[in-house]
Amino acid sequence: MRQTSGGLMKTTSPKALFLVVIAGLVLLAGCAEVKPWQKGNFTKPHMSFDPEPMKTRFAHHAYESKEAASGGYGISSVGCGCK
Amino acid sequence: MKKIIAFILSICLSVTTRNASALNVGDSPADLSLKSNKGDIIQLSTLRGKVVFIDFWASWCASCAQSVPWLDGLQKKLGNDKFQILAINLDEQSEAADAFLKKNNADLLVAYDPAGKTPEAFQMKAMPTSYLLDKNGKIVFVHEGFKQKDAEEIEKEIQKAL
Repeated sequence: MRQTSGGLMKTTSPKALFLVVIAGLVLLAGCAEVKPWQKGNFTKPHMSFDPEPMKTRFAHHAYESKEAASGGYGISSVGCGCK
Repeated sequence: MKKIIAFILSICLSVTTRNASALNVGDSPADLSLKSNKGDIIQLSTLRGKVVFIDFWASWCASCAQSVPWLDGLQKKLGNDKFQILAINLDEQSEAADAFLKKNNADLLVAYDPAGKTPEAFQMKAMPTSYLLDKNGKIVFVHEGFKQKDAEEIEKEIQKAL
């Protein structure tokens, strides 16, 4: 950042930009290619966003009971919201 | 500084560049040696003289749920005097493959390759992929993926090779 008469202006030196590009390339090289026959690993339960759906559902149920409200977790529901 | 940058870039390129090429029509795959579901070791060289249909599959592959039962029917229809289907399973656990075969009532010749060395050698690009080898062990047809409408084309190619 550099203070100018017109206020704050972002400046990036060519050297810093170059270092960012190099760092990006180095990180890119660390990316692993998933072979077609390895894609079965994606189907494993621990690869899902919610590895324990039953546990999450139970936790939501307890939360809904305590807070006297339901929904808000992608569950579609209708009603007055006064439950 | 320039030398260091060139060195870093060359490392990046060497890591990201793929140098192996996929096996295709006209190529002869190297011999393989895998454990089969019949309890013995299966080698491609022992099948020389027959038209061989190599199919890579796995129990988690959705298209394989269609292709494997169809291949089982095809093997029964064409017999195994001149034609052999070799279904190479790529599950990490062979129990998953056996359960899949039992569920689909399939009695194919299956070779297990949990480490994936064979598809690596073939440089396979999709699941399932099949390779049709003529009597001399040369690839004459390659098919990636499987849909029921592909069955007719594959069978036509097999008949041509026979």
